[in-house]
Amino acid sequence: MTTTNAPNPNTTITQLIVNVTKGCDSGYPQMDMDESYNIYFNTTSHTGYLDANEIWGAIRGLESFSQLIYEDSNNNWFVKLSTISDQPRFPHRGILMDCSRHYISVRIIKQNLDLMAMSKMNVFHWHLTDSESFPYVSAKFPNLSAKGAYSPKHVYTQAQIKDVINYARLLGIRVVAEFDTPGHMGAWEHGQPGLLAKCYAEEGWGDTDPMISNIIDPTKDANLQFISQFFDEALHLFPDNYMHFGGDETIRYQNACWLNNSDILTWMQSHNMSNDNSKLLKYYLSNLVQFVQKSRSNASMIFWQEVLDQNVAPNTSIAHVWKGNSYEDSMQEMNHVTQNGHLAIYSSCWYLDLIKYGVLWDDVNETAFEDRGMYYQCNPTDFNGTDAQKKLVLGGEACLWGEIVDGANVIQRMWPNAGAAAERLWSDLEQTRNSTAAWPRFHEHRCRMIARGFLGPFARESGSYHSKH
Amino acid sequence: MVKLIFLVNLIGLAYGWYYGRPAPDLMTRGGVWPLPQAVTTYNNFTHNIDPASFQFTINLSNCDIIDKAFQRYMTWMFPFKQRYMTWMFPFKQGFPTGTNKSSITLTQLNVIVNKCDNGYPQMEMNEQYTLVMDPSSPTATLIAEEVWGALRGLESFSHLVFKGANNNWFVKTATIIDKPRFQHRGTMLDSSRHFISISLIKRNLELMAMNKMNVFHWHLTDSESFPYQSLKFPEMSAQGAFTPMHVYNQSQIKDVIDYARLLGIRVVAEFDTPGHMGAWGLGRPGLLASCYSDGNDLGYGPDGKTILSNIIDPTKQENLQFIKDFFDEALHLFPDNYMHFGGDETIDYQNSCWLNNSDISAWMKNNSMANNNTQLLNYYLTNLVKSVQNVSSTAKMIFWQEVLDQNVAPNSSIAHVWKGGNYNASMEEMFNVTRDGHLAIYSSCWYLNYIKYGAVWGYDNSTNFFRDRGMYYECDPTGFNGTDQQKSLVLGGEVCMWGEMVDGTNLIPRLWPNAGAAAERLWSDPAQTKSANAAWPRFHEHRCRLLARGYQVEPPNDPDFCYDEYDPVFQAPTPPAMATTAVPTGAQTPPATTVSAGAQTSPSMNVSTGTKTMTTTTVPTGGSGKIEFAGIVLLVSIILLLL
Repeated sequence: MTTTNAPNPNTTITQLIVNVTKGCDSGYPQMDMDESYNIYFNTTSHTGYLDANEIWGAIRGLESFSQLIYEDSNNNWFVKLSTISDQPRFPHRGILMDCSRHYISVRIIKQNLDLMAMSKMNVFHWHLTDSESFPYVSAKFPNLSAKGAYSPKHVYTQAQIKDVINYARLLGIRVVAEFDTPGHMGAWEHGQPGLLAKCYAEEGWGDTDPMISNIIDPTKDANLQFISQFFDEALHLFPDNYMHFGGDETIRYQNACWLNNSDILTWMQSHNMSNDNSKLLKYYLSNLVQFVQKSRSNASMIFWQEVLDQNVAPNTSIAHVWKGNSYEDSMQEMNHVTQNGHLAIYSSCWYLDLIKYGVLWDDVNETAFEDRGMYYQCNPTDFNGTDAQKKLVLGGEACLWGEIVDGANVIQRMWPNAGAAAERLWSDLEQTRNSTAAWPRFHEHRCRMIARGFLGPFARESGSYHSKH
Repeated sequence: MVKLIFLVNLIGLAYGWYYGRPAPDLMTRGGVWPLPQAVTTYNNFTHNIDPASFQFTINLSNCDIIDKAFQRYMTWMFPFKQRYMTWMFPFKQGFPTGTNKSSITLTQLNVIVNKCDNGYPQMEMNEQYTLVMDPSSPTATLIAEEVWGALRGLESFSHLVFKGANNNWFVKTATIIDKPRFQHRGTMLDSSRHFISISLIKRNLELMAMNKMNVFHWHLTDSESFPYQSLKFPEMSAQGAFTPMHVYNQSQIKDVIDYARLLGIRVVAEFDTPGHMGAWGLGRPGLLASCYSDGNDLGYGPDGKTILSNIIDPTKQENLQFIKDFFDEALHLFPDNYMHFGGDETIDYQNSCWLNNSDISAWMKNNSMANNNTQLLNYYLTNLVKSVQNVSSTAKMIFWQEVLDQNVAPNSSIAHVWKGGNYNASMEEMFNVTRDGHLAIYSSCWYLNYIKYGAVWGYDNSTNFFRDRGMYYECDPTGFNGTDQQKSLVLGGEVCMWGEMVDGTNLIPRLWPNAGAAAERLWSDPAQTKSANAAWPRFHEHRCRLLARGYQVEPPNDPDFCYDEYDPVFQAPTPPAMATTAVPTGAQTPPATTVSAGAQTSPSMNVSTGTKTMTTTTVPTGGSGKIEFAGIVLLVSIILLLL
């Protein structure tokens, strides 16, 4: 909430006193971090005040304070005298970056973290592996990236990952890693031969011959052992109490690579699963859950929504909702997962990779998400559910899948449009229903990003050809 | 989450990677983009080439275009030669398989040009060149009649150079005989809807040259803003630009023209009249016709009812005089023999601002036009043509296609075809304008501002409608059923980047490398460039080449990688050094502890007695270093004036 005091052009604010009740926090931000803060001014003492319980609130407050400042055409600086009492509507406000389809450098990841902080987003969901490449360097299994990355340059070493985590911490941003299993694993196979199930294409799923697998063979104990050790390492590398375990889009591969695979089918039958491959999926997921709980008992698990239907995830697991071809569909999905008692993160509306022409943040009101913008209007709790259901909604994430995005365009494609989702996730719904009213502020915000040096083209050093923005 | 793309089958079985996509490292080495008319390679035989000792020679002295090009290509051929030692990993892309490594090191390229050209490139420029390399010789020869051909040949030569393992450079031996298919190969930028800085315009010119495009069509003015600074009428930009910063002054424009000349690129300015003139009215009250809704139009004004005019009032003699004076200046500023005079999308405004305007309709009646506003349009255009011819008898006129239907333009005028909701409809348009005997430039397929998801450069045939369609590579300006005579009237085409959603932040990645697909269509032999699949490995190398040269060009074709990814050093404005001070609550004059900006050092904190509360006074970082903090440098407080 903001109120603006009467202008007082004769006063100069000479200091901002930041008061953090609970002291400094040498740890990492977590889901339960307190981001609330208050800002007020005392013109008599020329002082602004920023009060917060935790440093995370102080960081948000500093961002707000910085946004009260503006410059006139004579290079005079002003601060808009405001009293602000603020806290986020949702605790989970994220960005997903896909670093498997295309590689994105650590420098650009950090730029994106800076921009997230400017819009008070607090979760960097790092989709680190997929079928296309495996840039994550595991200390235990170095072959995964040595063989699975696009090139030895297209990797994230553990030192680089720690650097990202520490950089994000300074901005009050959690780094939630995603290692997607049991599907979307194509690139794992290069460094761990035998990990994936061999596939036998079914009708209508014409891939290459032989079909390239992207799903684990969970019938081999060696593979489960590998998964256990892999996640043990990852869970100790990433300090966040949450990790994303993927689990999306397995059904076609369950059929082609499990059911059509005679070795696996035989194993299923000898383990009383007959030919029900959802039982094999559950078998894998139950093992995964056990491994995670053994490695780190306080770790909570996020899954893409379809996993939660398997009834194997722990109660505290979170359903990441990405399905629904239209806004109404996606709200049905939210209704459905919260009806089943799951915590939920919403993304269906905010697939920023599905570009289209127009004013996407607030316009392009088509039905199917593929053609629809309206990012500002989407609301994670916009379904007909009980209050108890709506309390299960933790927030949302803007997702930028990497098929046609890499370092050259990821920042421009993400921002400022992701800022529309950021306002939806932070701000009071009733005060932010009208995008026309929001535009002048959103416009200033975009110009602010540019003035701070972001969004611009930055030429790499190449002879004397430097770009200026 | 993975969006399975409809065109999977197009590229399916050929490569066999995920979802039928091309393998992520599928690319040529030393492939030339756009494809030359005739290339002879010598069994993929490659010479070594050493950036430290390689030299260009030229048979002419003091030919600035060539001299500057030599400097440029030493950088463009070997973009990272100073930076190897800083890399974390040595370069891993090995020598291409199936390639024979020569023991010879190519030491020089001798350029032979018949004559230097101190002037500007024009439509008739000769871009033909021959590059001769011999598998047994350490020298190569580039022969061209004109410098413009030499420039194209240097670009091709630079594409033959590639980097191998261990930081060694190679050059593919090839003999190339080449010339463009079309004379007019353009890119249109719109600097009215959003402003684009001069430095970005230059980056774009460089990228054009790397794709052998030769026309920068500069859409300088429109209804949204008027950034062009006229010396005769300075009020046009003073009132009509977004701000005084969003302006191109004449010396900047000359700078662009001269820069383009060095790259062999013509600058064709467009001042769109008689419509799309909204921003002209700001600096020139009375220039535009007042509009009146007839109930059918939407009303574009701020109240939703008033129609903001964007069309001239041609009934006023002083307006025609102004147009004459305005173009007199512009025609002398821009050296190209062609200028673009716009003329598109006037019909709605002809009705609401001419026909519904009682003064204008009275004038029309007095001048025997009855209520036929086409006659008024013809009246304006006829005057415009006369004014132009009066200034310059050599000036040729390009118009958006609808103007040519008015039968007032001189015979040598060019129809710029932008209409047609889909490819077949656009070919109908090409058929019609050439059937009517007009020279034609094609753009309908290449509106790159209409972004859509997918590998739009060569695929994405999802719908018939251009707004949702990619297939840039397949579009062919002569893809209509017309006579040879008609097809010989086609001068080429232009990629258009309208500015509604584009400014300096996203212009380059949105335009490139996709515009390169059109560039190949416009330069190369269509029979040799039918297949996007066949072109992809070469296009992929080209995109990576542009990246390596330092340009922010987006990935055009689904998951893949380049060995040199875009990874710029972030250049945020340098904040002033920050002082952080801990003070007891309520203290008025805190002692200062200075730490360097961005350091993780914890400032020592004073905890006031009796309370757990800590207070820290921080100085928010300012913008650039230009700010004076009331004379207090590196001090505790920033001075902010209260509003």
